Amino acid sequence: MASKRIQKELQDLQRDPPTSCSAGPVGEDLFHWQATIMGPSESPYSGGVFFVKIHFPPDYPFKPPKVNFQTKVYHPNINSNGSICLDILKEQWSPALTISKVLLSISSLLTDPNPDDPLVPEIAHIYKNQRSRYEETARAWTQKYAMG
Amino acid sequence: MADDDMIELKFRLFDGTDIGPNKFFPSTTVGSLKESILARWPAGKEIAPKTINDLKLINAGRILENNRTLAESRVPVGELPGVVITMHVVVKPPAVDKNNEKQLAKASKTSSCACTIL
Repeated sequence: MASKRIQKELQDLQRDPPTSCSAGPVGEDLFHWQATIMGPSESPYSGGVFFVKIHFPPDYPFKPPKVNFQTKVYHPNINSNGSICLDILKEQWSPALTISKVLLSISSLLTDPNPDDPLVPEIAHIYKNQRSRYEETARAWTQKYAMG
Repeated sequence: MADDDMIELKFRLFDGTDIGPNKFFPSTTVGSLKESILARWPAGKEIAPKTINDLKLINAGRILENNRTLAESRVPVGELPGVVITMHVVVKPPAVDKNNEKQLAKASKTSSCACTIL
Protein backbone atom coordinates (compact mmCIF):
# COMPACT_ATOMS: atom_id res chain seq x y z
CA MET A 1 0.00 0.00 0.00
CA ALA A 2 2.60 2.54 1.13
CA SER A 3 5.10 1.67 -1.57
CA LYS A 4 2.47 1.83 -4.29
CA ARG A 5 1.43 5.27 -3.15
CA ILE A 6 5.07 6.48 -2.88
CA GLN A 7 5.79 5.08 -6.36
CA LYS A 8 2.84 7.06 -7.72
CA GLU A 9 4.04 10.27 -6.06
CA LEU A 10 7.50 9.70 -7.51
CA GLN A 11 6.12 9.31 -11.02
CA ASP A 12 4.05 12.48 -10.66
CA LEU A 13 7.10 14.38 -9.42
CA GLN A 14 9.29 13.11 -12.26
CA ARG A 15 6.71 14.06 -14.83
CA ASP A 16 5.42 17.38 -13.57
CA PRO A 17 7.14 18.70 -10.43
CA PRO A 18 6.39 22.08 -8.84
CA THR A 19 8.71 24.83 -10.12
CA SER A 20 10.35 25.28 -6.75
CA CYS A 21 11.07 21.72 -5.66
CA SER A 22 12.43 18.39 -6.75
CA ALA A 23 12.40 15.05 -4.91
CA GLY A 24 13.22 11.37 -5.35
CA PRO A 25 14.64 8.29 -3.64
CA VAL A 26 18.28 8.36 -2.48
CA GLY A 27 18.97 4.80 -3.59
CA GLU A 28 16.97 1.62 -4.02
CA ASP A 29 14.96 2.27 -0.84
CA LEU A 30 11.68 3.84 -1.84
CA PHE A 31 11.03 5.02 1.74
CA HIS A 32 14.11 7.21 1.95
CA TRP A 33 14.13 10.32 -0.24
CA GLN A 34 16.05 13.50 -0.73
CA ALA A 35 14.59 16.74 -2.01
CA THR A 36 15.70 20.21 -3.01
CA ILE A 37 13.77 23.39 -2.37
CA MET A 38 14.72 26.47 -4.36
CA GLY A 39 14.67 29.56 -2.13
CA PRO A 40 11.58 31.65 -3.01
CA SER A 41 12.49 34.75 -5.00
CA GLU A 42 10.55 37.09 -2.71
CA SER A 43 12.43 35.92 0.39
CA PRO A 44 15.96 36.31 1.79
CA TYR A 45 16.51 32.65 0.79
CA SER A 46 16.35 33.58 -2.89
CA GLY A 47 19.08 32.01 -5.03
CA GLY A 48 19.71 29.20 -2.55
CA VAL A 49 19.15 25.50 -3.10
CA PHE A 50 18.18 23.77 0.15
CA PHE A 51 18.56 20.04 0.66
CA VAL A 52 15.93 18.16 2.59
CA LYS A 53 15.72 14.52 3.73
CA ILE A 54 12.43 12.66 3.74
CA HIS A 55 11.59 9.41 5.54
CA PHE A 56 8.29 7.73 4.85
CA PRO A 57 6.82 5.67 7.70
CA PRO A 58 5.71 2.10 6.84
CA ASP A 59 2.07 3.17 7.26
CA TYR A 60 2.32 6.19 4.92
CA PRO A 61 0.07 8.03 3.98
CA PHE A 62 -1.81 7.43 7.25
CA LYS A 63 1.16 8.83 9.16
CA PRO A 64 3.09 11.92 8.02
CA PRO A 65 6.57 11.68 6.48
CA LYS A 66 9.55 12.87 8.52
CA VAL A 67 11.13 15.85 6.84
CA ASN A 68 14.42 17.50 7.84
CA PHE A 69 16.59 20.21 6.36
CA GLN A 70 20.14 19.10 5.56
CA THR A 71 21.22 22.62 4.65
CA LYS A 72 21.64 25.16 7.44
CA VAL A 73 18.78 27.70 7.37
CA TYR A 74 18.29 30.83 9.46
CA HIS A 75 14.55 30.69 10.13
CA PRO A 76 12.27 30.97 13.21
CA ASN A 77 10.61 27.60 12.47
CA ILE A 78 13.69 25.56 11.48
CA ASN A 79 16.29 24.67 14.11
CA SER A 80 19.98 23.80 13.89
CA ASN A 81 19.18 20.07 13.54
CA GLY A 82 17.09 20.85 10.49
CA SER A 83 13.81 20.06 12.27
CA ILE A 84 10.83 21.91 10.87
CA CYS A 85 7.92 23.21 12.90
CA LEU A 86 5.00 22.82 10.53
CA ASP A 87 1.48 21.74 11.53
CA ILE A 88 0.87 19.50 8.51
CA LEU A 89 3.91 17.41 9.47
CA LYS A 90 2.28 16.76 12.84
CA GLU A 91 -1.31 17.00 14.00
CA GLN A 92 -2.61 18.58 10.80
CA TRP A 93 -1.34 15.78 8.56
CA SER A 94 -3.92 14.28 6.22
CA PRO A 95 -3.54 11.24 3.92
CA ALA A 96 -4.76 13.51 1.13
CA LEU A 97 -1.49 15.47 1.35
CA THR A 98 1.48 14.53 -0.81
CA ILE A 99 5.22 15.16 -0.65
CA SER A 100 4.78 17.73 -3.36
CA LYS A 101 2.29 19.64 -1.18
CA VAL A 102 4.51 19.28 1.87
CA LEU A 103 7.48 20.75 -0.01
CA LEU A 104 5.34 23.61 -1.30
CA SER A 105 4.19 24.33 2.26
CA ILE A 106 7.80 24.42 3.42
CA SER A 107 8.54 26.79 0.56
CA SER A 108 5.69 29.06 1.75
CA LEU A 109 7.05 28.84 5.28
CA LEU A 110 10.37 30.19 3.97
CA THR A 111 8.54 33.20 2.51
CA ASP A 112 6.23 33.66 5.51
CA PRO A 113 7.73 32.50 8.80
CA ASN A 114 5.40 31.86 11.71
CA PRO A 115 7.10 33.67 14.63
CA ASP A 116 4.17 32.99 16.99
CA ASP A 117 4.91 29.27 17.01
CA PRO A 118 8.69 29.34 16.89
CA LEU A 119 11.17 26.50 17.07
CA VAL A 120 14.02 28.97 17.58
CA PRO A 121 12.68 31.72 19.88
CA GLU A 122 15.76 33.97 19.41
CA ILE A 123 15.27 34.11 15.64
CA ALA A 124 11.52 34.65 16.10
CA HIS A 125 12.29 37.57 18.40
CA ILE A 126 14.65 39.15 15.87
CA TYR A 127 12.14 38.50 13.09
CA LYS A 128 9.44 40.34 15.03
CA ASN A 129 11.51 43.24 16.31
CA GLN A 130 14.41 43.76 13.92
CA ARG A 131 13.16 42.57 10.57
CA SER A 132 16.08 43.96 8.57
CA ARG A 133 18.59 42.21 10.82
CA TYR A 134 16.73 38.93 10.33
CA GLU A 135 16.75 39.40 6.54
CA GLU A 136 20.46 40.19 6.47
CA THR A 137 21.38 37.12 8.47
CA ALA A 138 19.04 34.85 6.51
CA ARG A 139 20.56 36.16 3.27
CA ALA A 140 24.10 35.70 4.57
CA TRP A 141 23.39 32.09 5.62
CA THR A 142 21.80 31.40 2.24
CA GLN A 143 24.94 32.62 0.46
CA LYS A 144 27.21 30.71 2.78
CA TYR A 145 25.40 27.36 2.98
CA ALA A 146 22.94 27.11 0.07
CA MET A 147 24.78 28.41 -2.98
CA GLY A 148 27.65 25.94 -3.28
CA MET B 1 20.77 3.08 -31.79
CA ALA B 2 17.12 2.29 -31.27
CA ASP B 3 14.93 5.30 -30.83
CA ASP B 4 13.16 3.89 -27.81
CA ASP B 5 16.42 3.80 -25.85
CA MET B 6 16.27 7.57 -25.80
CA ILE B 7 15.11 9.47 -22.75
CA GLU B 8 12.70 12.32 -23.18
CA LEU B 9 13.47 15.31 -20.98
CA LYS B 10 11.94 18.64 -20.19
CA PHE B 11 13.85 21.39 -18.36
CA ARG B 12 11.89 23.54 -15.97
CA LEU B 13 13.21 27.03 -15.28
CA PHE B 14 12.89 29.12 -12.11
CA ASP B 15 9.85 30.96 -13.45
CA GLY B 16 7.99 27.82 -14.47
CA THR B 17 8.71 27.93 -18.20
CA ASP B 18 9.91 24.72 -19.82
CA ILE B 19 12.55 23.98 -22.42
CA GLY B 20 11.74 20.87 -24.43
CA PRO B 21 10.71 18.09 -24.34
CA ASN B 22 13.60 16.66 -26.32
CA LYS B 23 15.03 13.18 -26.63
CA PHE B 24 18.52 12.33 -25.46
CA PHE B 25 20.63 9.18 -25.53
CA PRO B 26 21.32 7.66 -22.10
CA SER B 27 25.03 8.17 -22.82
CA THR B 28 24.61 11.97 -23.00
CA THR B 29 26.59 13.68 -20.24
CA VAL B 30 25.01 16.18 -17.89
CA GLY B 31 27.53 18.72 -19.24
CA SER B 32 26.20 18.35 -22.77
CA LEU B 33 22.61 18.52 -21.50
CA LYS B 34 23.56 21.89 -20.06
CA GLU B 35 25.07 22.93 -23.42
CA SER B 36 21.78 22.14 -25.09
CA ILE B 37 19.89 24.12 -22.43
CA LEU B 38 22.16 27.13 -23.07
CA ALA B 39 21.61 26.82 -26.81
CA ARG B 40 17.85 26.83 -26.35
CA TRP B 41 17.60 29.38 -23.55
CA PRO B 42 14.41 31.40 -24.16
CA ALA B 43 14.98 34.95 -25.35
CA GLY B 44 13.86 37.87 -23.22
CA LYS B 45 14.51 36.24 -19.83
CA GLU B 46 15.75 38.43 -17.03
CA ILE B 47 18.58 36.02 -16.28
CA ALA B 48 20.73 34.69 -19.11
CA PRO B 49 23.42 32.16 -18.15
CA LYS B 50 26.62 32.36 -20.21
CA THR B 51 28.40 29.10 -19.54
CA ILE B 52 27.39 25.66 -18.30
CA ASN B 53 29.04 26.54 -15.00
CA ASP B 54 26.27 29.06 -14.40
CA LEU B 55 23.74 26.25 -14.44
CA LYS B 56 22.69 23.66 -11.89
CA LEU B 57 20.65 20.76 -13.14
CA ILE B 58 18.48 19.07 -10.53
CA ASN B 59 16.58 15.81 -10.76
CA ALA B 60 14.89 13.84 -8.00
CA GLY B 61 16.25 16.11 -5.30
CA ARG B 62 19.89 15.96 -6.32
CA ILE B 63 22.26 18.21 -8.23
CA LEU B 64 23.58 16.34 -11.26
CA GLU B 65 27.31 16.30 -11.98
CA ASN B 66 28.64 17.47 -15.35
CA ASN B 67 30.80 14.43 -16.03
CA ARG B 68 28.06 11.88 -15.33
CA THR B 69 25.88 10.48 -18.07
CA LEU B 70 22.11 10.59 -18.10
CA ALA B 71 22.01 6.83 -17.51
CA GLU B 72 24.16 7.21 -14.38
CA SER B 73 22.12 10.15 -13.08
CA ARG B 74 18.69 8.59 -13.31
CA VAL B 75 16.50 7.64 -10.40
CA PRO B 76 17.09 3.93 -9.73
CA VAL B 77 13.48 3.05 -8.99
CA GLY B 78 9.99 3.94 -10.01
CA GLU B 79 10.34 4.97 -13.62
CA LEU B 80 7.72 4.42 -16.23
CA PRO B 81 8.93 3.89 -19.77
CA GLY B 82 7.83 6.51 -22.23
CA VAL B 83 7.22 9.19 -19.62
CA VAL B 84 8.81 12.60 -20.08
CA ILE B 85 11.07 13.42 -17.13
CA THR B 86 11.17 17.01 -15.93
CA MET B 87 14.43 18.34 -14.52
CA HIS B 88 14.97 21.68 -12.79
CA VAL B 89 17.40 24.30 -13.98
CA VAL B 90 18.83 26.73 -11.44
CA VAL B 91 20.98 29.66 -12.54
CA LYS B 92 23.73 30.47 -10.08
CA PRO B 93 23.46 34.06 -8.92
CA PRO B 94 26.32 36.15 -10.32
CA ALA B 95 29.17 37.47 -8.21
CA VAL B 96 28.90 35.21 -5.22
CA ASP B 97 32.49 35.39 -4.12
CA LYS B 98 34.64 36.05 -1.10
CA ASN B 99 33.94 39.79 -1.28
CA ASN B 100 30.39 39.14 -0.26
CA GLU B 101 31.42 37.82 3.12
CA LYS B 102 33.32 41.02 3.79
CA GLN B 103 30.37 43.08 2.65
CA LEU B 104 28.08 41.05 4.84
CA ALA B 105 30.36 41.43 7.82
CA LYS B 106 30.32 45.15 7.22
CA ALA B 107 26.58 45.17 6.74
CA SER B 108 25.92 43.47 10.05
CA LYS B 109 28.03 46.05 11.88
CA THR B 110 26.26 49.01 10.32
CA SER B 111 22.75 47.62 10.34
CA SER B 112 21.05 50.96 9.81
CA CYS B 113 20.19 50.12 6.22
CA ALA B 114 18.91 46.73 5.18
CA CYS B 115 18.88 47.35 1.46
CA THR B 116 21.19 45.03 -0.40
CA ILE B 117 21.45 45.31 -4.13
CA LEU B 118 21.19 41.85 -5.59
